[in-house]
Amino acid sequence: MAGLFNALNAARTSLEVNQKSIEITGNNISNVNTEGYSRQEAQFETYPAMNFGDFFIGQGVKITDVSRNHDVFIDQQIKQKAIDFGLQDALTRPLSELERVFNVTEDNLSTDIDNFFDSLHELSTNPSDLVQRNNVILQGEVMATSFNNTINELNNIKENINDTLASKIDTINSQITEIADLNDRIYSIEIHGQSANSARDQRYLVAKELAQTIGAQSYEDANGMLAVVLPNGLPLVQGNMPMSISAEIQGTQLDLKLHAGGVVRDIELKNMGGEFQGLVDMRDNFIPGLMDDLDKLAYEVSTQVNFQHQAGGALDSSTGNLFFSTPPNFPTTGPPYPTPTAAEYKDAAREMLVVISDASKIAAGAAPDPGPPVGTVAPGDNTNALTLANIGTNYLIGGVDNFNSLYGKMASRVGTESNQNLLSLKGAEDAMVQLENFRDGLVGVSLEEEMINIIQYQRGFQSSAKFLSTVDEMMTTVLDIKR
Amino acid sequence: MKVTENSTYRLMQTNLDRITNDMFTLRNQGATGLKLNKPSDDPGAIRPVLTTRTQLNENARYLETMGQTGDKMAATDSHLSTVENVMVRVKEIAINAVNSGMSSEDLSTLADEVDELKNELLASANAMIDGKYIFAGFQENTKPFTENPDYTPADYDINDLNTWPYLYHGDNNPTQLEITPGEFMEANLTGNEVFFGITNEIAASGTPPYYQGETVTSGPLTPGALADDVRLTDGAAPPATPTVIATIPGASFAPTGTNYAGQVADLFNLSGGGLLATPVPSTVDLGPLSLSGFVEGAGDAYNLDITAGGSTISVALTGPAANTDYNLQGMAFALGSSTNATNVTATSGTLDNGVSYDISSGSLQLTGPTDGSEITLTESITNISGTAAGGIVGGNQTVYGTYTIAPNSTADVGIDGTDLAGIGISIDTLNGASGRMDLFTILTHTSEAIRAGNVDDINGAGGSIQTQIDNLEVGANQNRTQRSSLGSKAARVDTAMLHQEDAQIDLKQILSRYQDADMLQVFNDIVQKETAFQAALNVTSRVSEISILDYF
Repeated sequence: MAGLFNALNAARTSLEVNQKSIEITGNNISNVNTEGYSRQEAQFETYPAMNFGDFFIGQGVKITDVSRNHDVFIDQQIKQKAIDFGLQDALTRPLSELERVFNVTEDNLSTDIDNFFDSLHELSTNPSDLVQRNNVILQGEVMATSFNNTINELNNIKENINDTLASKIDTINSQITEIADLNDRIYSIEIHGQSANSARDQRYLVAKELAQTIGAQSYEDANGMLAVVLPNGLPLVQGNMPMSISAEIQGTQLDLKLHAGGVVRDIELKNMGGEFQGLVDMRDNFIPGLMDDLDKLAYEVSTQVNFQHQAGGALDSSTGNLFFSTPPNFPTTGPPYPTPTAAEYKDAAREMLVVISDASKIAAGAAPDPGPPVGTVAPGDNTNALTLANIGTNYLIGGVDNFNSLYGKMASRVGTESNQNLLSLKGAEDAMVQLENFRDGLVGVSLEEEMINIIQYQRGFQSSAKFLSTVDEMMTTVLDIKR
Repeated sequence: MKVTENSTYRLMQTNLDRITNDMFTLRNQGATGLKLNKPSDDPGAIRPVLTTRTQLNENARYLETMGQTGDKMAATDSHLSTVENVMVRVKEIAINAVNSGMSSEDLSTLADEVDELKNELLASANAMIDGKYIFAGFQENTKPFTENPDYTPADYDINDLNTWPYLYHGDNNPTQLEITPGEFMEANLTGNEVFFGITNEIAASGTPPYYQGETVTSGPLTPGALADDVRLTDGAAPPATPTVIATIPGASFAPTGTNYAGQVADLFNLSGGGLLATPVPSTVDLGPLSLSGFVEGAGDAYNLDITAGGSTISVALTGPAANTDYNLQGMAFALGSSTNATNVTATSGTLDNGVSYDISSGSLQLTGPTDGSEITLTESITNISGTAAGGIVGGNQTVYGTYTIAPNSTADVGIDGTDLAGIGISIDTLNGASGRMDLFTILTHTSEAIRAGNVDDINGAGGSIQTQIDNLEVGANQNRTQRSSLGSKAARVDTAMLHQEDAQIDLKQILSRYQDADMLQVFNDIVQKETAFQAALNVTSRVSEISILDYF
């Protein structure tokens, strides 16, 4: 009887194990669409065999562990690629905004510049016509407003980037804390020899997101805890200790700070990766570069037109009238003026304004004879209008570009950057898809596989049950011996 | 390795996204007809597209300007044709008055008719287009010609405009219009040229004589007495031994002051030889100022003294820190910062002693004062570092001004002598002014002569009908000359318009190549993408058709 009881026990373990296996398979199937889920598997082991006289007989089966399929290599690869993907993905939105600002359709800043000089050309054919004089002022205002708007739009893009950064900081901080908590949980579970499967899946997912947003790199230490650091080594999570990131806003500038154990450090561009690197680089380098060029363009247009306009004479014989406002950082010493630098160009686009309001003050003619006696300007004098109209094509900024070419350069820069971004983004996306597919191939849930496992475990369960009933019959037989 | 459902769906999703994105781009191209919709579509094409658009804009403007110019010219021509008719008719009347023995009543009737024709001439001279006087120069709102209320035949002086029968209130500026890039054309004629026969250049000077002859500008002057005298001769029809009108002694060409060119000009003006001389400012190109080896910290400096008319302006280049770098820009800054410098820009200006400078061509160019005074240049180098070298082309030098001479009347003047090269001219006959007269004066005088019946007394009323008949022919010719020059300008406008229209087509072609989508290609691509999209959808649907669940 003792043997039969043992057999009964073995059948019981088999039933339990197969039933548990089906549960695990069911769990796998349930999580077929869960992101970051790694397929789980029961590890079977026979019970230690017992010595029956001269031979050993097995005592059944048990589940020693529910393990999780995973591959450190592919996980690291995905995290690395997520950094690239985040960088390119973040650039796409500001760049498409910039493409809208520096558009190449028939209606852009360069068209406004063309129209302004065209209105001067038109004035040259009919210099005393007040309607055409008003048109010059109007076109000048349109152009100046266009400059103001463009620089404002660039500023808005910068502010939007700041908003985006600020809005992501909360998420990042909670993710950092989550990893620290998960580290703690995994440690306390695994110290008892169990596997913290779902916690590890969760932690991998959060680490991947951190890699994508801020370029965080992560690696596992001997205790199974995940250390998370910024690209240059500043820590975000150490063991179960989370650090935090804060945004310091000064005026329109937003600086990121890392609070690590009572010490506050600046997070600079070189310390970031992923989306943050892309956004901050766009905000601090690319857009300011465009703004500088726009200021340069506005400065040159206003000063060159002003110089020539002041040299001419108006319909009311006044001379030295300004057409545009003097740029805010125009040199105070001179003439002669030294070659303007970035300091002089600054804010020229924002402050550009047509100061002339009286159409008769437009200097279409040559300056009157300073006298004595003081001369007058003839109404039909168009000499200065001709010279003014030709500034648009003849004046070369720094001897290289005329006004429209400089705008063209800016637009091409945006275009090239955006083009590059599209290609890189496509590449990064491809790489991500490929790696995710690869990961799925290794650790993902395949319904076919699970279905076949179900059959397998079901059969196991059925045969164990059959065995049980057989043993039961045998026991009945034994019990029937004595009546 | 296994392939999971997730992988399959992810792959499908990515591909469908990509194809729909591509289709969106292609459909956008098809709908707009443009392949350049945003900068990233073709960054390299942006600059050519913008430049071409600017050129197209300008092109349209030039065409419009030329159209207007052509209209104006046509209207002007019709008025000149009226002038022609007036001149011919007056000549007929004048001949009629000479030939027949007429009573004073008849002559008076003829004279009245001439006066009427004079009014017709006046109406043409005061003609308007678009509410603007066409023969008034820049003074388009001012009636250019009015009868002179103070005119009396006795006080008539050819050298005093205020004694002429009609007064001109316009100015001497023809309207320049830009008809093609960089080409400026005088779109109208000024009243002083058409009716008074006074060229714009002479009118600009504002001083008589108004009918100056051929102008010659001298070459560089070499100061010093001439061995031979300069003789001014009657050059009308040069005989073997021409008649000497005036002689300037060779010894008087020795410089005695600071303005040699001015002195030479004065000698001609005072000689009584019928020549009018005007000094021309001296100019010199001093090169790019190739200074090298200057060390700012060591205290090296480049000094330049510019003397003209007895006044010296000294400048020193002491290094970049003071904005006076050892180069052209530094020199321009130093010159512009000198005492009482005027009209200063980044590259040019005028010094207190009348010398103006310009570095915009990449070399230092000086122009002397308007009175023709010479410029004396002295340079020196403070060479403490021991390496400083360079300077102006030609080193220390004196640059003399030049002068122009022209006959002061309708008579030709010859210039003769053996040492003429020393004063920058050669043996020559300068033509006097001819073919240019005041049409109003001719008509007024004709009317006076006819009324007085003065047939051939040059000193009588109206200077005789005979003389006026000659003058009428000269006047008619003057009008024809103006008309034909206007006609050739109109022809130029016509060809320029044709050319610009051709250019416009070319420019549009260039623009199209850069920004327009090849529609055939686009539609082809759309069909291709649609096929690919259908295939992808088909595959996707098939994936869901087969499931292991169907077998349980």
